Amino acid sequence: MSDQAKSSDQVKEGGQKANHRLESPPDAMLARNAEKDQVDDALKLNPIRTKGITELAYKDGYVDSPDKRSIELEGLYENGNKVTIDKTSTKRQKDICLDPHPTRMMPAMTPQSEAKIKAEQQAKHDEISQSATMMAIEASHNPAMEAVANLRKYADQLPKGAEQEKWTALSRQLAAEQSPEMRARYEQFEGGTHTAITPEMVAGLPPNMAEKTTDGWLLKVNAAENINTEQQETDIVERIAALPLDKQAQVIGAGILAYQQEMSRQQVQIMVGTIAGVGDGAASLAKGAEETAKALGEVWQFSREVMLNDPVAIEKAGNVGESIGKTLVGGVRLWQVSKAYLADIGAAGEYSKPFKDISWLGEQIDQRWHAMTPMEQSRLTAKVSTEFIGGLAAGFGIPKLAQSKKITSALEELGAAANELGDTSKERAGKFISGLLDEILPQPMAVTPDGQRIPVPRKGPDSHLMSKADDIGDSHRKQPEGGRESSSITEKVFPSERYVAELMKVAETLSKNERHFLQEHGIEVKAIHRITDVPDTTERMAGCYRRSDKAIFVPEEVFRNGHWVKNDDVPFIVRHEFGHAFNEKRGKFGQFISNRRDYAEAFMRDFKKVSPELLDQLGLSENFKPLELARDEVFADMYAHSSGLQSNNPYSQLLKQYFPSCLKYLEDMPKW
Amino acid sequence: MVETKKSFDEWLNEEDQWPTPEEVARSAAQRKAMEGKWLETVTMKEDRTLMIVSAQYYVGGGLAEGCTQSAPGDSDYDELLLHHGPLKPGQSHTLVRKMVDGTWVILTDETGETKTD
Repeated sequence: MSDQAKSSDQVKEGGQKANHRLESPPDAMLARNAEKDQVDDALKLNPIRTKGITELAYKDGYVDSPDKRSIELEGLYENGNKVTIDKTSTKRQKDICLDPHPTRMMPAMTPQSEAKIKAEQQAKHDEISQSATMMAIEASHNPAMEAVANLRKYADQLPKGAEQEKWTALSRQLAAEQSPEMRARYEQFEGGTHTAITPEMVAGLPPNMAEKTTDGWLLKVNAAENINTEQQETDIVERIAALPLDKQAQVIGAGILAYQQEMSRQQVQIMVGTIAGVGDGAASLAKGAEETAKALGEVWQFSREVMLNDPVAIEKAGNVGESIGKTLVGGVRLWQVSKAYLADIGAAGEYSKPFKDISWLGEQIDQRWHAMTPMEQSRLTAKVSTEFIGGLAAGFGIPKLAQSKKITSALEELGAAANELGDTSKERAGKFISGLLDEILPQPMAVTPDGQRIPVPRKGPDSHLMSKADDIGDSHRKQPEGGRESSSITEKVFPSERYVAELMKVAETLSKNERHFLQEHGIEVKAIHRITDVPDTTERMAGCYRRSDKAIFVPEEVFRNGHWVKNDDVPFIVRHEFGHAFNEKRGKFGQFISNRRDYAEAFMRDFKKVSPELLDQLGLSENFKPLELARDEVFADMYAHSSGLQSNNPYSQLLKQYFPSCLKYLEDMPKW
Repeated sequence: MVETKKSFDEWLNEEDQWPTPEEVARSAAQRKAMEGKWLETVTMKEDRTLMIVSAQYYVGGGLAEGCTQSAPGDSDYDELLLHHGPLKPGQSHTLVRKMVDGTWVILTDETGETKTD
């Protein structure tokens, strides 16, 4: 340690002279050994100058208060560092100087060193205010900053030059807009204001960084590489689990909704982050929300696919089991949350549909489990636990789980217990849950040509049964590969091969333009066993077009005279439902063609000639639905008739008879 | 009446044929109001056979529809009359239902009452 000491005010005011005087050992010794009263005396002699240096120290950020210290003694090291002693200390100055952990360290305040300090300080401020690091730190608790931080990361990777400067400047502009703290930081060190972001500023970004939307430009989060999304996903599941059940439902529901609407990561974050009442954790919850939304969305979609007996579900079962496993070991009791939401909010809730579907899936899993014999249950759990958790089986309570009546609750318990354990145990428990669910998830069934129901194996290179819009005529059905030993409890079955082939042939008869229309709008023509396989659809329907599923469903069997009988009107139904889709999507600016004035006039000409009684019987009366929908119905039916097809349905025959102007309209409509 | 000489694009661009924004909004509102509803009209024909015309309007868009029959003695005949009857030959009756909490609820019938199906 240096034996030099001096008063800071003297250093500041006296410059080199003072330094020279103070750097002599006798003065240093005196100063270092000064008692508190001697320091106070010195203060009385130098009040103004002392205040000046303290204010300077305060301004530079070295002291907490401009009035806290009015005089300082500093021990100077040979390397330029010094010990600064607060006059308010009750310690003897000497003791403080000898303290192994000095209260304050700073470079000697010579003019040169002061200039050096300020230069370094400014450089540091510049570095802090501009660096991607600060943006990344800000992004850790401000989701909106994540995109900005990634933009800055992108800019830093560019070669130095105008391009880099441009993106650096933009990142700072965005940071100032997104974060009050960052804005304050810039203004403190630059004193400037920030102009608004213009589209031109963003327009040059690579496509993976920004994209143009209807609302302007959207900066993409996660565009930069090396972001550990898996870790984020685990984090968010655990954070969700820490919330009350109703808040869990809100976050999960919002996530599923976001998944359904194919929202971007940024939108998901904003959505989750803005859920009312989530509280302070919202911002951190939003981090990784997209991955969680995706996982839960897949569970929900799988539920729907199983409901619809969609063969796609066969291939997804493994992934869904994994998603459920991760969710449960994260501590989120998925089915408990679903039931709580439905019980508290009911069908009126915004997220009731996905929770209803997930709840349905849970019931199906429980039913399948219940349908197994105790021996089968024990054998299955033993098999899966041996594969994934080995000697930890007893610790996880697997033998007890095998005796559970309700497997979903037991798995939720297991997941919650595993959540308290280490990462390895959690991972194993997740795999166990995934493996077990893979064995017991509802399994679509097929009907053989001779009428026997057989389960369809989940794994296979191509097990699509339904015709798809973009490969109509080329789709083929995967032959069942022998089935599985456990029987299905689901009543939904696949349509027969014969019917699938029949529907394929019908689809092949669609014109090239009609096929192109389906492809363009992503609409699929799907074969189903019965119309009741479509959620919320009653038995007396002959077919349907569902916008939300982008699908036309045509059943193999229809309900007639109290029985399910073979559908003998498939070609007409396909074109009728196509007519609904065409009417909705081919009009100008998304308007229904049936709302065109010339069509509406043709419709009214016919409509006025039909007796009110018959309108009632045909379900076209204004007593029960607006003319808007009556026009749509007649349009779709006349579309099918205009193709020259005959319908076996008396209803369609009546419509053709009573709406000749509408039929002519469709027949005369320009070819497209 | 559509002129056959027009191309589809020309036909599509006939500004005066498409509804005004106000009409479009009204149309959308009417469709929205029907979402989630199931209309079932049962008509008794002279031979006492029932013709059932059904339409369902899905939440989010799209619809299902069908027309089927039920004759005396069929398994669903009595149940249909229970909901729609009594009917005489030539008479028809319509029920409008809506799914509420997983149950189809009759919104209105000819008596104006609302009841659970």
